[in-house]
Amino acid sequence: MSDFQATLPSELQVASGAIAPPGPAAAAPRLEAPLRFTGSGAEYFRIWVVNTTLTLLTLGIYSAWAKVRKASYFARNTRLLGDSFDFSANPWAILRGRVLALVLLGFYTFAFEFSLVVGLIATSVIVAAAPFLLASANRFRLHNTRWRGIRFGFSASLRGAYRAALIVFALWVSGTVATALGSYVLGAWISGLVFLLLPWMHHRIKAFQHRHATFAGHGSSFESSLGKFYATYFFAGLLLFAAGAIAAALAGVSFYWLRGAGNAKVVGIIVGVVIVAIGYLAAWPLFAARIQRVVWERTRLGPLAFETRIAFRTLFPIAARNVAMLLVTAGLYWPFASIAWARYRLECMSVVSEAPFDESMHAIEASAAPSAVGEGAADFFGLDIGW
Amino acid sequence: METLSLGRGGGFAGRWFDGRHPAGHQVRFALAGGELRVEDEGGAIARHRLADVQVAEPLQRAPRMFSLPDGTLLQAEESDALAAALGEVGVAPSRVVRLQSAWPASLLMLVLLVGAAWWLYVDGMPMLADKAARSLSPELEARMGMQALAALDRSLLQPSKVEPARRAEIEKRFAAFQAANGASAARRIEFRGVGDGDGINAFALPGGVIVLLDGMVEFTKSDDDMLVAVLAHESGHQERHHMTRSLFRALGGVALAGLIWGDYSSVASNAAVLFGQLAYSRDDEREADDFAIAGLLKAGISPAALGRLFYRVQAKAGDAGVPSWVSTHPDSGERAERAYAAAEAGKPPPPR
Repeated sequence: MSDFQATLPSELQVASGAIAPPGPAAAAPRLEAPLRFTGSGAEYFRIWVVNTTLTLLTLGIYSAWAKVRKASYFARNTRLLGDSFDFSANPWAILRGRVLALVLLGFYTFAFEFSLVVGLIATSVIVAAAPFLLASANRFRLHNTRWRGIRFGFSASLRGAYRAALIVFALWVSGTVATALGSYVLGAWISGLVFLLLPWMHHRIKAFQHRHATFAGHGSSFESSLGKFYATYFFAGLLLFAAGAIAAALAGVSFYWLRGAGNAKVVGIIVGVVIVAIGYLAAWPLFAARIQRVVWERTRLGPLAFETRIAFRTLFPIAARNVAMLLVTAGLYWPFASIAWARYRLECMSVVSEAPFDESMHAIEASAAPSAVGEGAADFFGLDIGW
Repeated sequence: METLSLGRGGGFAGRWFDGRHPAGHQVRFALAGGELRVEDEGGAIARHRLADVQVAEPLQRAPRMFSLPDGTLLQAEESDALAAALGEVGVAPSRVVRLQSAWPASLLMLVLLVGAAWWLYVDGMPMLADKAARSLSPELEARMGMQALAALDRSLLQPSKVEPARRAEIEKRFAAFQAANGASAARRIEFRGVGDGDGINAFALPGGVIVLLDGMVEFTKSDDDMLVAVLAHESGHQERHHMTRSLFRALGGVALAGLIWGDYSSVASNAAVLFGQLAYSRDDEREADDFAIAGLLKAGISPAALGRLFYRVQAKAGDAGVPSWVSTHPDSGERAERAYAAAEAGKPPPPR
């Protein structure tokens, strides 16, 4: 569960507005409007340091306000056709969501230590709540994001959220549950099976997110690309496997060369760890770049399509520099790293339209009155849980 | 419609959105007389009392947003002149925004951040974790231990092959050690084996259970005092609630790292926690050693038994794979010396 949660927030972010706006559509005379990002590391450093210090001094309570300021800074510095995105949200809703998330997480962490039955109950509660929380977080982010004065939205119904995501979360915990229920071997088999289904699960969540975004009366659509998801996971996995094999070989070689020397084992281990770390450093931007391309090239919003030129060979040096600088500065480079990463990933994106942008924008009439159901759901879903 | 009053170049340039079309209009606006006036070439578009307008706080040089009460939106580039004009009409930035916008204040916050994080990591969190571990009810702790043992039995552990007579002997010696130290009756040995390999290991679970693996019984077979020293060391972990404490510390570490770096990635924060755990567990080992040394002295056993154990284990590590009991227990030599010194002096070492 925890790993999955680790990937979710950034996913939610991509789906949410910081990147997601529409522009005009694709056809014969394709017009492209690139996203521009005007944030800077030096500016964001000052926001980050204040956010982090106040969060620490208030034992986490301020983190809800910090999140709003951070999201606003990134949104307002992202521009399409010259105009900024905007993010504004009620921090108390975020705080509520975080308290709920912490309670659930704490419950889950301790439940199996306490007893098997309590553990199973905790797991069921979390799996049962997860689709609601996923839809809620998406809705919260999109609903609070605007471009040219118009809010984005997230149109998934509660039923739709459960139909799409319940199976994914249930699969996610199935290995843990099988192990807890008694069989280590069965647990390992199921975990292996779930591992093979990981791209399918990821694709399913992405499709759910990218099929329910709305803007100015238009809904988004997403063309399935399961094969590309599997290919992406395969290549990233291959890279990791290769790094592991090279690391094992080099560790063995250095151990052999230095045999007899007291520190042979230490040198071997260090060589291995460094190679594996480099493998991760390459696999991660490869994965991020390919997934961004696969997802956005198949997403449309009404008459608008998206183009992304993100490439591994550009993303890798950014990732490598970020990691090196983070190590050198003991983590203080963090805000600069965030900005560099966001800038490249955003500026690779453009919105594509057939008609001239001004024309097509004028033609888009905001759905005059959002249905009462939609607005009710806004209150019901008005809970943010993504970090 | 009023006539154009701002004139070309008067007031500020902005973009105005009607809230229904994703299209913008070039406008000029002015803040005066407690009002916000928005105009384009054709005349006035909107006029609202400033009190009804939601002005987004400044975020460095990011554009400003003015949410107007009729659902429309005004967007303006940030500038010193705009900030000054807003200040004049009483829309002042909050204290947090002022901290964010000036370098000296930000650097002061940075010093505060590093200090607070350091203190929390070194003193604050371990203290809280200790408190939490000690205040956990013994029943709950015992239950956690039983749960952990049941899980290990289902997965890694197997029944022990140690003879019942030998077990009774070991239990008798441990009982004598316990009696000399007035230790809790809940503390007991569980004998277990592992599949293949030596399993030269013993470990403590929350709530009093010490799991003693067959490999360790075999390893210390010629030297019963050495086995008591192992059990004494594990008793030290029990005495100080190290298992529950490290659980709470890990949670605290996750929370702290999440607070600092959690805004983007949990990878960085997890790595930070992992390194923290290594440092903590070294301190725990030293604490357990000191408990064992003092306890052995009380039970009339020379702490040299503990020193012999470290040297034996280290020697074993030299020729084969590292026995698991030492892999998390660094600096065997230094720890052995400490035990020998205490044996020579006949009294526990001074606190570190």
